[in-house]
Amino acid sequence: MSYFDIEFAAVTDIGKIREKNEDNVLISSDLSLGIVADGMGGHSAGEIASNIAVSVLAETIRKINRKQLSVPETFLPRLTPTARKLLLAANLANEAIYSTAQTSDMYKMMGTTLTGVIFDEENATTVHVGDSRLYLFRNDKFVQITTDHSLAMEHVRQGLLTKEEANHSRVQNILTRAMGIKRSIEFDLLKFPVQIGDTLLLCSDGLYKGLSDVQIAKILREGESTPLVKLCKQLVRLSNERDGQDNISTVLIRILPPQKLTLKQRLKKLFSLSK
Amino acid sequence: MSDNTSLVGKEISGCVILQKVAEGGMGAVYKARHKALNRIVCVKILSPSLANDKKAVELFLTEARAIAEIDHPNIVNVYNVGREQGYYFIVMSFIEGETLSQIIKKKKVLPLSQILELFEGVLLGLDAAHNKGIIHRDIKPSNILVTKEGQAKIVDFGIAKKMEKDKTTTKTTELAGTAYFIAPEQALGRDLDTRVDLYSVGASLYYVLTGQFPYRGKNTIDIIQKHINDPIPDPAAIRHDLPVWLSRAVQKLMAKTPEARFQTAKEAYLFFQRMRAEEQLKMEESSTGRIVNLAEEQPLRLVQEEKFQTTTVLQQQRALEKEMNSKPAVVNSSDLPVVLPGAMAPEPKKELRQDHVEANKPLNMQSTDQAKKIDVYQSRITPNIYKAKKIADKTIHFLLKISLLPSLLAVIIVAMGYIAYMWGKTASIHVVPHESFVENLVNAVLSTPYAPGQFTWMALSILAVILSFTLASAKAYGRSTIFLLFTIVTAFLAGLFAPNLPFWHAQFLGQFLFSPEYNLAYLLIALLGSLTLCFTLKRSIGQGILGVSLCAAVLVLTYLSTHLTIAPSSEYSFMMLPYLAILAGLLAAYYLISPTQRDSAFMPMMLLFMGVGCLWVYGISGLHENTIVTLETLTQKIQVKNSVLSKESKENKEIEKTAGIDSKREVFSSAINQSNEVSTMKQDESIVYIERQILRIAGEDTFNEEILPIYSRFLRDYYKGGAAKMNYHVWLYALGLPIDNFNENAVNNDVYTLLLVVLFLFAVVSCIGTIVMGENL
Repeated sequence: MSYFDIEFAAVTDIGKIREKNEDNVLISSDLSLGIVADGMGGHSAGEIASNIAVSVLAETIRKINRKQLSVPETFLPRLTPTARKLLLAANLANEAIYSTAQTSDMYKMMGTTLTGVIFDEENATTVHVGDSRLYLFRNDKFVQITTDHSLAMEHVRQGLLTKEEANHSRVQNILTRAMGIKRSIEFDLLKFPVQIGDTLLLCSDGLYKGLSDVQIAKILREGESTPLVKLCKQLVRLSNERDGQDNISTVLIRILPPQKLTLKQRLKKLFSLSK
Repeated sequence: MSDNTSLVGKEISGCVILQKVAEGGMGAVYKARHKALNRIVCVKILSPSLANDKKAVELFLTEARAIAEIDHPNIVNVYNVGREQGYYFIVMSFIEGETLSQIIKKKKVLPLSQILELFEGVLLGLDAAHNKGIIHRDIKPSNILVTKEGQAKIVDFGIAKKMEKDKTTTKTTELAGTAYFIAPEQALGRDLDTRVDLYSVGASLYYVLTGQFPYRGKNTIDIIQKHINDPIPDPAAIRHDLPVWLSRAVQKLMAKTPEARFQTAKEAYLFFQRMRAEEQLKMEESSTGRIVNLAEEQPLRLVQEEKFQTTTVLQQQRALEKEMNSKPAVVNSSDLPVVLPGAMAPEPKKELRQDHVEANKPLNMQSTDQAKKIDVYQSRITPNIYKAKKIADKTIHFLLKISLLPSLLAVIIVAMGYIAYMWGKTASIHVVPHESFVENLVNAVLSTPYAPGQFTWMALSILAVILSFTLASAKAYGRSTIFLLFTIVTAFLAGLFAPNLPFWHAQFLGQFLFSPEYNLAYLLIALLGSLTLCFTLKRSIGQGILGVSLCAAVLVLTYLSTHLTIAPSSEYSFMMLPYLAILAGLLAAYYLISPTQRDSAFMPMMLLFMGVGCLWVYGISGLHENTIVTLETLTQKIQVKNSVLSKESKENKEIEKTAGIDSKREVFSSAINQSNEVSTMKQDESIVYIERQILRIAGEDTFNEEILPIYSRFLRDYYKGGAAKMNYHVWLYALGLPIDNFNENAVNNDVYTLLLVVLFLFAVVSCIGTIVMGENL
């Protein structure tokens, strides 16, 4: 029963030293969707991988919403419809990247991280793979929702490193999971109820390399009334000043109380299928 | 790809590219001929996609230049480095031979002396590189080339460094290969020194000696973590002919901490040399018969060394265990950073683990408690408990909904209905029996000032109604609100037009139920109630109302069909019951199995339309038949009266038939219109005239008063245009019969008119609304 409005903002920046931006972001109010994908550099076309990830994911969800595509009934029937939709889209995106990667040496072994969040009436559902992150800022508290799929975090999980050590570890950059590397990969899927007033932050590793969690939280708290886009730009700028070694992408999502609807919107709501 | 293949035949840095030899992550390796030196060389070209990456290029070049500085037989020689035609290249000596890993895969087991020979070479090569400050970082059998002469040559310096600087995944082939030989400190991302290569040499040596990787796991991460955690394996456990010193040496090379290993490649090399020499000596001595107790002396030293080694390993393991114990093995919510903006110290780790924090710094602890409440963590930590809880929650929610909502709704409905009823009853004093329905309605609402005694009641009632409606409407556009509105209107009208029946008298329930006025009203309420519940699931309100309205229309028609002025054809009444039963069954079944929302909304609509059509046909079925029967009866009576005329008709019939004369009509006309008056009269007069003629012919009591005008109209048509015209008019009239009938009935029951108007208004609004405004019909 809890309805809310969602405000999105996104900024992506090439950083100070990179020659291309391999990140891709997408925000869509229509789909209630925000995605950050960080393509992997090295030897291949990271920006292509992240582009495919973002566009295939969004397009699939759009098609499912329009009933041009339906989620097979056998596809994880115990999940919520939103989660199934998101996971199917992510799987298709992974396959698209993987098969593109097989077509040419230029694309060989390209890959991308993906962190996406989609909203339904009550919940935010997150799909996650790689080292992009989703943070939740709620009631002045700042929490990382996703777990990085990096070797460093694996070590943390095994108790071999502390979180603090992991943040400065060299193996933080070595991903244990990414899209496009295998035909089928495992995604982290998380669902949590959102509250009015929440701010969600999706970012690529560029952002948190430049800014610590404390600093990000501080910026978010001080910027509670600033426009989201401005806040996004501020985060990216500050991170760039401090580090700037990598591409920086930021998506900010704010959960707002439902707006007053116009007569037309009300009528639309009245006569449209309730979800 | 085309870029690379097209390189064959090209000339780069004075080398003619001959063929592609291999391809790796960094680029491709070609066999080429150096024109000036006239010798075969190896040209490595940085992959074009990397050529744009400044960092990658820099790395490629600096490493290559560094290697070029080292001139060592165990390291591949670099002749030239640079950029030409947009390609970054390294020209190296071409080595005919195989990598160590290829050899192992082919031969499985190599003689011990050969292995030692090769690894001494590797150690020497590494020592030379280390002295220049170059760390290989990726020593593994596939990076050790073996020439035809049996000399080891190390290749691919600096690749691993590249891997660390840039993001990549362990799923890539390079790192997957590396994982079997990776040093713990490298896997942990700690600062590296030359000793990291020694670990990899140890692991490679283990592999070459035994043919097995030192650690195996289900995935790369598993293997990497075993390098960090698991006890050092003993190669002698697999290959039994190993001398003790060798297996100890391998273990020492693979020590978890760099301090426990040989400190330099040279040290390891020298140790190998000495041990082999001593072994050689021992063998020689024993063969010549001289007994020198070197064997005793030597192990003593080894034991000493081993002691040192094992203690460090133990210490290290203990330290690890300690670390593990102090830390929860599973990452749970309390381990996730919960940070308060403004809290300056970015070191919340230790605070978080404390169970109690002083009151003056509660910031982080509070937040962790709160953070735990988020479902994400719960589902991650204890999915089963969470699931169970969720089911329980759902059940409770459902039970609450079931038990609370309908009863609440019922209470509200009864209360609202009562108020509306009282209101209507109060207003009913203004009803003037012979005025129109609308006037009565308007009077009832507006006449308050003229009835001072009723004012308070009226005002209160109106206030209550408005208040309740507002409250109900708070649940924006709830279906229940519309249902409530219906109830109020119905109750009000019931009160207004039937003031003699008290609302609460239970003993009059039967009266209510079986009196036409209430019958319909209550049926509608019940139907609305059930349907609003039915339609709550995944339907637009517009569609819901449309469905409800159609259901109501069916009911109205059903009711009307049982009160037809002209009796329906008896055949149809038998058809009705099974038809309706089937209809209801289909509907119910469809709700259960409907695959999609759209279907589930569409199908019942279709069924309802069919139901309406069926009832309509049923309603009008009697009319045509009865008209024919009436005509027959009349003609017969006329014929009986004019029996004299009809006697000769038997012969005439044949003639009439061939001449196309309708004798029946002739008879009918002659009887009714003897003086041809009808054709000159106006329509109304002629109907009255015909009516009178019919009564005269058929007798006063043949037809009842209500139907006679209808029949006389048809008979006039028959007289004027024959059977075809009459039938046409009968059917035309029949189409509107239920409505006409309804209007006849509604003269006394204005409730019906209003209900029907409201219903169809709702239906039309919801139809149009759904079509025009609906987003996902």
